[in-house]
Amino acid sequence: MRSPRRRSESAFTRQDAFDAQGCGHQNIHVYNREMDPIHIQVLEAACALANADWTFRVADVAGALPHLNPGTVRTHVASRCCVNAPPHHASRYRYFRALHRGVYRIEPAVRRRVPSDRGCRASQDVILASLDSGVDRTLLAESIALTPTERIETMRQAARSLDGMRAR
Amino acid sequence: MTPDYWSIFEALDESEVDFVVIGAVAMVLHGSARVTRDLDICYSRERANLGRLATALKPFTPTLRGAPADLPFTLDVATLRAGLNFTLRSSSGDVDLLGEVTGIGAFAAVRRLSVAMRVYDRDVRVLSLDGLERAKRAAGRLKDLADLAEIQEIRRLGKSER
Repeated sequence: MRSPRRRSESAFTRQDAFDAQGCGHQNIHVYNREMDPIHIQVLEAACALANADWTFRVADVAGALPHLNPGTVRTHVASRCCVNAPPHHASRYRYFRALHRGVYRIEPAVRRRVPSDRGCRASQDVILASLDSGVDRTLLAESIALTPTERIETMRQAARSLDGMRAR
Repeated sequence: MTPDYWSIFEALDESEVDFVVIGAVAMVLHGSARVTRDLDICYSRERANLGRLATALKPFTPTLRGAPADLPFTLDVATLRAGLNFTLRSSSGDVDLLGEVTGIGAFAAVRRLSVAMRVYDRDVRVLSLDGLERAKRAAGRLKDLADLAEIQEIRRLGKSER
């Protein structure tokens, strides 16, 4: 089985090469996860969508990858990346096991949860509670009383005023 | 330069681009009293939408912001497919195009967390306060914490979503 990491790293290498040419800049984001091999994209989407028991529906994975042909995604889940695909299928990556029609489970070796933000959230709330936010409630209340168009136009006027002051 | 939001929203709407306003402008549309000088939008990566987006922005002659002046750049489907996030300078101001939002995910997830707002007589999808909170928490910078405080205050002062 080919290592899922290797191809991703080669994408980063392309970015590094781009930076080395002096073309890279913090405002240019060239690396694109859509350039990853399809089996990697399918695995990542399945991990992100999987239930607590690591099962997922192939339809959900196809829906999460709109830039890919749904048929291609289904072929990857049901055939190329399925350990118990029918013998005549070209199964290359041992990622998923078919359970029922349209339902698969991610194999233990490739399970990877998206990190939980619960701990981070709690510490952010502590910081928020201890800080003086500096939010101007009067200004906010005035803004909320406006329509969205008025809010954006008020902001533009304020920006123009600030630009005028800077120019002076 | 403050973007000409009216022109950009008009162009995107006329071309039927699938997009959601995110970032500071979304905060302002919900009632934030901050000032920002760019427009951040999250766009659908479906091929047809990439074409509509390129067509909509073409009249604004977008270039890569911060890139060397002689770096050739054409905003078209091929370019959009090859990248994900683009920070652009245009004749109507700075526009950032994001294919996904940290803490939320790709366009489909961002759209699910958006609300419709009437802006310049057009229906525009704007990231909800819940979505903004999720994105700000994921970004986690000091300025994002300040934004979180403002989001909480906006919620207290009244719902701007409809």
